Amino acid sequence: MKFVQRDMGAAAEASSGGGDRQLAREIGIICAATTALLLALYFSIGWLVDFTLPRISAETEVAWFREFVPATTATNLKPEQTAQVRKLQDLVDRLALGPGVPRIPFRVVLFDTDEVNAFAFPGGTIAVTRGLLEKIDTDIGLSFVLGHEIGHFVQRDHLRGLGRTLGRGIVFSLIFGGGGEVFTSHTANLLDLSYSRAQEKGADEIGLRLTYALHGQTEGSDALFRWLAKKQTNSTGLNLLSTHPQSESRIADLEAYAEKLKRESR
Amino acid sequence: MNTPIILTNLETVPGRSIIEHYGLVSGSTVRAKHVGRDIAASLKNFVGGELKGYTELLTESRNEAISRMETQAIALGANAVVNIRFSTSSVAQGAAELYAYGTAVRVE
Repeated sequence: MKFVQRDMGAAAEASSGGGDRQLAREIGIICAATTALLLALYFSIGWLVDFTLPRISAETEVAWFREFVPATTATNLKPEQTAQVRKLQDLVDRLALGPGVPRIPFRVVLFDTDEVNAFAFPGGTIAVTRGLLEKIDTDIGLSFVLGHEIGHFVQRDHLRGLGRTLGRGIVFSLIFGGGGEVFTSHTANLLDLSYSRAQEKGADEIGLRLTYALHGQTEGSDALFRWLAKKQTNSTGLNLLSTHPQSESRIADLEAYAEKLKRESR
Repeated sequence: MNTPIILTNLETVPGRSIIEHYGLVSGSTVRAKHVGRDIAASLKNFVGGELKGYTELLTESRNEAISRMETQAIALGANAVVNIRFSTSSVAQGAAELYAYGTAVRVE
């Protein structure tokens, strides 16, 4: 038996697994597949929740979300703020007796921010900002804003944006582990940005109807829009409320609807 | 494999004599188990028995290692690989290397 030295050529690389190029390709494919999977998960959870939540009855919603308090809720209120919130709560309680409102306990909370806005949260929580209370001081103006938020409850709008937020939170916690802080203050505040113009218009009409039912008149209910219209003409910066329909057209719509309400009640 | 090649763990091929000896040939593969197999295996832990998923994984790996070793032997012009041995090592959590090596020879 003799030893023969031979070169085995390419077969020497039989176990090398294809080298760097093959490795790079594999990493690319795995990354793409993972991304696609996560995106599919993200959208499917979001859509699923978006689809089912608005179909939940108001009573069930309250049972589920009763304990939920928005992360940005102000604590340690000053005595005059406590009085303000109590006054708003009283206003909401009376507005909620109006036509077409589910009989659930609404709860008013305060956000300590300069921003002028109000939000509807799951479980019957309505948040108003300090900025709003500084700008709107009439009962009727506040009634309309609160009625508008009640309108979002009636239309189940506030549950529609929740799905995407929930989906995002779940997928995030899957990727990064941990509890996944679903309701960070930031995302909670973005909930109201997903309302369409049609939803806003519907909420406007419900708000006006409730205001009219409570006060017997609608004069001054457009206080917020008048302030916004003024602000929009002399500021070019990005306005958080820019997702809402243009203030002028909303004022016009309100006036038309107020006329209709008066005709109906005669 | 177009050329049938003799694979044995004896040092000779019984009834044939070795006329040329080409040196060491080897094949290896490193394989990882996947989540699906883990789930199946953890369920199997309740009742015991064979973990078919893992059996299949390691069988595939061994066959792959052998076939890579064969590829080298054929490239050298051998018609047999004698004294074949297997070895294994754990590279990372949940991943194992299967390594087959032997001596490529020509017998007649």
